[in-house]
Amino acid sequence: MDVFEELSAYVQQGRAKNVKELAEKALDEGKPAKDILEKGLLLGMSIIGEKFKNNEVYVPEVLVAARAMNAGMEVLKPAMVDADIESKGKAVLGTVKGDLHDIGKNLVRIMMEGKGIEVIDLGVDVAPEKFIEAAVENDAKIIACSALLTTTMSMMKDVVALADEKGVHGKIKVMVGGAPVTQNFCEKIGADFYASDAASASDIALKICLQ
Amino acid sequence: MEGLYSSADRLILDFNTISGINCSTVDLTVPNSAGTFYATGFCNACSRLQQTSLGSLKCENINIYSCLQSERWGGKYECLCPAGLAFINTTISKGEEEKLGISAGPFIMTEIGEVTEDLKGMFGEKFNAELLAEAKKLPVIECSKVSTYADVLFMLSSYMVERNSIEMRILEQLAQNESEQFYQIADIKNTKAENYSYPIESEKMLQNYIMQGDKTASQKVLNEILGHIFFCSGGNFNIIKARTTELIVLLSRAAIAGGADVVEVFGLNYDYLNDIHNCKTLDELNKWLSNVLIRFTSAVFDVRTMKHSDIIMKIIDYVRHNYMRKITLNDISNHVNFSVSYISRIFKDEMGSNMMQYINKVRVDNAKLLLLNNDIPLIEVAYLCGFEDQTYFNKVFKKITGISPGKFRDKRGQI
Repeated sequence: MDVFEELSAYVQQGRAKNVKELAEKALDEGKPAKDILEKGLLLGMSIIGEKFKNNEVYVPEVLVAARAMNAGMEVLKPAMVDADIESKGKAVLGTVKGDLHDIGKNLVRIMMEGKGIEVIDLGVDVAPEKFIEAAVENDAKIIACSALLTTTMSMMKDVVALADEKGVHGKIKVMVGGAPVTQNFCEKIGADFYASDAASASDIALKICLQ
Repeated sequence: MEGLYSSADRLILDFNTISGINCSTVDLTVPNSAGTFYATGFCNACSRLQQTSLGSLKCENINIYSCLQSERWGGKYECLCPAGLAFINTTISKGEEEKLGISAGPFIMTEIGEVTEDLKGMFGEKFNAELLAEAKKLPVIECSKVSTYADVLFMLSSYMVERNSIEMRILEQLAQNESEQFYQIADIKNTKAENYSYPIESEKMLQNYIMQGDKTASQKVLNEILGHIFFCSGGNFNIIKARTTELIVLLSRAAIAGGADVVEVFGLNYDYLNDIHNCKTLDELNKWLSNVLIRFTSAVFDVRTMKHSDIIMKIIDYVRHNYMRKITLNDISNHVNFSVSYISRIFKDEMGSNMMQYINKVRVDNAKLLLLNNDIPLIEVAYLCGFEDQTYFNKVFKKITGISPGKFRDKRGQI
């Protein structure tokens, strides 16, 4: 078993401590952080996701696997950020009100930070007012919101509407993402950008900041 | 509220005894009610540390939220607290006014070593021996058993308050629907956008399942179709409503084709098309559509009204699983252990057609689906559906549908 397979297995078993140690070891051996993330941590998580879909495992298994993955990502974070990269701008990030699913969001945070963007992570279940307040307060250029449920994604519309109402939309761009969200939906609610995954979210964010 | 609290006390005592997990309650009818959370030594120690180093994390709010979430997901909700410890949540209620959240936890789902790592990460230098000692007292529940504990807690609580189990099952079905639709959307997004097309075949499948009165299979296909509708409409509620209205028409025609009473179906149709205007959210629409589907599939044939329902069901089930092979009346008679003449008579009486006609109908229904796939030659469709030669297949198909299999394929099933 190579180190990536081993990492994936530990993520699936929810063994955060082992994941952390092994990720550190892999970094020391000179394995690229991107590979450790994609071939190890994310692969393990997607296998658990598939098992969950097929009713082979239940919520608790997913919870511990996600926790183990987060532990691994914390280790990778410094390696994903270029040491002397200067701050390109700020983004406010969170999952919308009613949505507690943060696996994808955490990934976006790390990817954005890797591009030199300063991320203000508001966490999960964030009300529209909080998104706007935090963006204005921190002089952020981007509000990035994520939703996993078809029932919570309509909250994004409220975020855009409030940004319009407060007259900050335009100065602050709204980016949306998450499993049920589509380009079509993004346009319908008047959001500025749709990101299909964490990597493109960070690409788009960088582009906005450099404009 | 007193009655409810005493039910809760009994429940908490029972659950605590079998699981070793601490339980607490919170009044969900009062805003910002603190309840009895923080009852455990661990939570006390943790919250004292939070105040000195992190500021309060509002654990009560998270617990209240989790209890309320349980109502959405079929009665139970498992989650991790900010310190990484596990909780199981449910609710008990009496009428509309009285509602208590029940929260079982904290407990450890992994192992103590993992938890101390988490706590050190969270509190840094402030992490102290007191917290460690309290953490060591917490019960450790193997991950694979947590779902079972959650089920037990939910069942105990349902028993205590005589919960309306039908309502909970509907909720569970709705949660199931939402997740199936969600996976459908994720699947569509994973295929390249330019290759995307609306699955017109799924509509045919749905019609077929409704004709057969198969509730489970029709709900599954319906979820698939809804996933596509949500995807295409970009969440625009009015478009979703319009597409749903089309679906209702489709469902009702399939029910009639399956032998449901025309007057009854048209009556239902009228009511439903009026009702759809009252749906304001996606949740409501989903719930409403599930009900419609159940009514239509039930209208196809209601076995409860049959005198010999178990034998008939057995025959139908046998035919559905063996239509691709040669079936003789003797095979069926051996399967249900009644004579050919007896089962022939009751089948004709209850179903209105003889068994051979029914077998051919099932074969033709399945042939229609296969015909929509151009990759399968006609002769193979015939064999796959249990017809021994193509001429006979053509003859039977034309007799039942009015057109030949080849024409049916050319017209993409638009008879």
